[in-house]
Amino acid sequence: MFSELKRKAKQLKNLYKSQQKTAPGQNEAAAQPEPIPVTLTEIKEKLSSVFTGCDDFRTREIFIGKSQKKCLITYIDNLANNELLNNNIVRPLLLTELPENFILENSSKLIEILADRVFCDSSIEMKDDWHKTIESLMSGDTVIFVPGNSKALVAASRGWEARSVSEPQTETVVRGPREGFIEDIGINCALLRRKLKNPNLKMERITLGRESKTPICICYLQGIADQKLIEEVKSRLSKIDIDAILESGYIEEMIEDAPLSFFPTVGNSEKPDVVAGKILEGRVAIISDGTPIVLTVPYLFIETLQSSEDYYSSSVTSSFLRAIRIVCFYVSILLPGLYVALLGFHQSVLPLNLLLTISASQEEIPFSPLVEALFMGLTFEILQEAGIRMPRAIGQSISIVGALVIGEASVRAGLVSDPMVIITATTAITTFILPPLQRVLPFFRLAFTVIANVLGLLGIFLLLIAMVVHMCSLRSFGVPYMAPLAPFVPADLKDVFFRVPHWAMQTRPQSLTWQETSRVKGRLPKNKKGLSPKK
Amino acid sequence: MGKSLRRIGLVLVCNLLLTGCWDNIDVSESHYVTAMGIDRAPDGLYELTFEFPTPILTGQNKEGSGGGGGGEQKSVAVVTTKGDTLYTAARNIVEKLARKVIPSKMELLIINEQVARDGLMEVFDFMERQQDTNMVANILLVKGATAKEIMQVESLQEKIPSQHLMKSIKVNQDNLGTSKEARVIDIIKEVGLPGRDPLLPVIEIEQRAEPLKVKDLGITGSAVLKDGKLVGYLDGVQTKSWLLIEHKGKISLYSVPLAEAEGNAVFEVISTKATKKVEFLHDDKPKFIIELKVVGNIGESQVSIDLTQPERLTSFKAQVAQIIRKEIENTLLTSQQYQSDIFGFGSLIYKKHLTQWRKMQDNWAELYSKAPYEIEVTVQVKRSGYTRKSIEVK
Repeated sequence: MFSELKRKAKQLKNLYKSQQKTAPGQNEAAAQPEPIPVTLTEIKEKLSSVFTGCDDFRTREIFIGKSQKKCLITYIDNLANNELLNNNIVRPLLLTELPENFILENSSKLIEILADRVFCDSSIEMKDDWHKTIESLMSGDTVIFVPGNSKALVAASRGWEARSVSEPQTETVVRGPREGFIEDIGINCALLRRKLKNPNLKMERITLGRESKTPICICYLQGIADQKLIEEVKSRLSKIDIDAILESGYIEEMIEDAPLSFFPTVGNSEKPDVVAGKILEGRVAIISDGTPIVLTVPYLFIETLQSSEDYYSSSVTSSFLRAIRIVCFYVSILLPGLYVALLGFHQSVLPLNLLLTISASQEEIPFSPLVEALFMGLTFEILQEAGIRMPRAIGQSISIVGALVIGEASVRAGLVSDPMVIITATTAITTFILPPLQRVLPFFRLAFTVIANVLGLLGIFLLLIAMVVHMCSLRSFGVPYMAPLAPFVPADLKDVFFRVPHWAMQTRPQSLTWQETSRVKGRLPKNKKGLSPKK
Repeated sequence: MGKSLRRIGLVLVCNLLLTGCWDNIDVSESHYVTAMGIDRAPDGLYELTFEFPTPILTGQNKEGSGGGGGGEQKSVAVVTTKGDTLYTAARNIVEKLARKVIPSKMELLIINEQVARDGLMEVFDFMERQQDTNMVANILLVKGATAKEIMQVESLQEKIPSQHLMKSIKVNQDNLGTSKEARVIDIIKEVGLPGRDPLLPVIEIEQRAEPLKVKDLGITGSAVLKDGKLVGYLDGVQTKSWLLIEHKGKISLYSVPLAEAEGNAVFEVISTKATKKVEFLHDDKPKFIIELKVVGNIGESQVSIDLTQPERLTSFKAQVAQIIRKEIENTLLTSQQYQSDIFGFGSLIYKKHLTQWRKMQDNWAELYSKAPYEIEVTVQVKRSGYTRKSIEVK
């Protein structure tokens, strides 16, 4: 299956390369600016040809002040805020005090005069490319065509109904900011800017998606993020050729280093403080319009073990919690496998009393531990999926059915042994401690359980070794996935197994930028040889 | 450093692959042996007795099953087989069972006196050669009865009788000192060591009853081996002295008759420090020296005794030292009588004076039995219990 996918990926790569060779000419043709017609009738004709069937497209022809000159206001209903439109554009235009002869005299410069002296809009812009004008129109701006000029005015009047900033459903914290990103890229950028009030926080906008024209924002801190990394992000994003970006997951999949690996190499978060923290460490954030999920790259494995709350509560407790997360990672992937292996191959490891207890519970079960583990695991996955998909109102019935099916009934019916229920429950709980890996952990668990049934502990360790080798071979935007553990960067261990206090965390992670930068002013550690990434 | 780290890492990774047995065993398709008894049948064949716990009855306390429907159902099954060798006898058990027998959980090995007299080397060979036997199983020697009889015993406290016996050996060693724990792996080591003979704990039926309960049995004293064969017994007191010198026991008690009046005080040993030495006399014959420092408390006093008086304390200490010395002497003399080097003086010579050992190893048994000895015991009274003086009736 994987080989087929890989072949497909290779094929796409070749196709892409060959396209790139021939493409430039085409692209230029498409990008060539098209002039805006001069007379009102021409403009109206062109607009009506473009917008046939678009009933939400609105035009209004109005006189400029008391003169007989007309101009054309166009906007998309409900994308442009009506109030803004009326107050800032229509009213000033109608009520302008400009003398009629002045208007007539300066008809060639009229558009500049309107922009500078009439409209009460802070971000009025002049455009002379038809395509760009239409693009602005489609994203909610108001376009004013003034005849006698091959230019158009674009006034920012975007104002649609958006969800207000609220606490995200995922990534809940006990201590820390409650706000989360929303679906609007402008507000998301502002949320981020509010965390880092610094002109060095760069926000570069691009548009992706042939049909959707989704605005994307690349955020990074100039001088802290590696320049090569920024270039790499931009180049990967620019290569995306897709019809629409409906969610940042589209981008994630297109720019991932290892799309076929179970391990995520692109991070995401719904919280501005988390993203700000990552940007401060030298990462690049990719905000996409229409989703509250913001991507961060590069994404290393240790980030799955870190939580934003680690940095807000005391270092001792957060280090302890981090240790628990590490344990949970192993428990989550290994526990059913270990149980199957111990019961099938290595009973002599178990103390006699424990062995007797377990074998007593096994005695009445018609299935082998493997079948039990698979059955319970599958049941849990089904319940979990149902819990996410079902309407909120029937949530209770699912939990009742779940508790009965998973726990009591299957044991009473003699289908599943008591220890297996405990093991399934434990692994289920531990899965939720590592949200970034939540979706992939069941795969590992399944693999470990199956191989444990075939080879026992030997199989478990073989697979564990294979897994670690695979993890070490991964890279995220040029940074080794297991850094700072492999390659070993001792200076970065301050934030891996434990989180040292902030006053001791003096340098930024070197494994990301491969240069030493100080977090605390004037406290750069004694000069060591600069690190360089191993190629 | 990087290179050596990498090498160490590689070795550690290889270790992960050494995870043990390869074949799959289904838990509900196996019987776990918890104890094995070895007897010699009258026809000369080996008679093996196995104890299997019944998981349903031992493992769980489910509401339904304990209730009483089953009545007096034993939580273990005891099965006996025969064979000309241990291995064939052990394999013959398949005739009587429906499941595979797993010996890896066997925690007690009960050996009949007669088998031990004929030699235990075959038993040790069997234990060592099989890949899934439990090498840390305890050995227990039955005196005056068969292992089969002992294994029919019923325990009131433990679900598995052999667990009761096994635990009581350890408890006895730690709190009373009249018995001595012996694990298979340790005994095999001691047998293989030059100039050292092992001791095994002994169990006896004190009172014959039907059915036999654990309280009818007595675990006291120990069996002396020589060249892997049983040659005699030490009683409980002698075992206690042996434990004192070998630092195996934790607490042992001595009754000390007091001069003040008719009555005893109890001296409770809490820690010891023993040094064994071998000196060579002019004719190159060995002389054994045992120096023992004993620290203890007064556990009980039947008559009033005032140890705050220095003179009284000194005389009391001397008295205790005398008692302990006598008992050690008695033990040593008994072992000399059996010509069995239970204190390992021979191995001391082997380790420190190899050339001398080479000369005397052939007739070591005889040299041992005739060697002169010197025993020195010093006693320290740490606390006279939680009172300084006895309560005085006024």
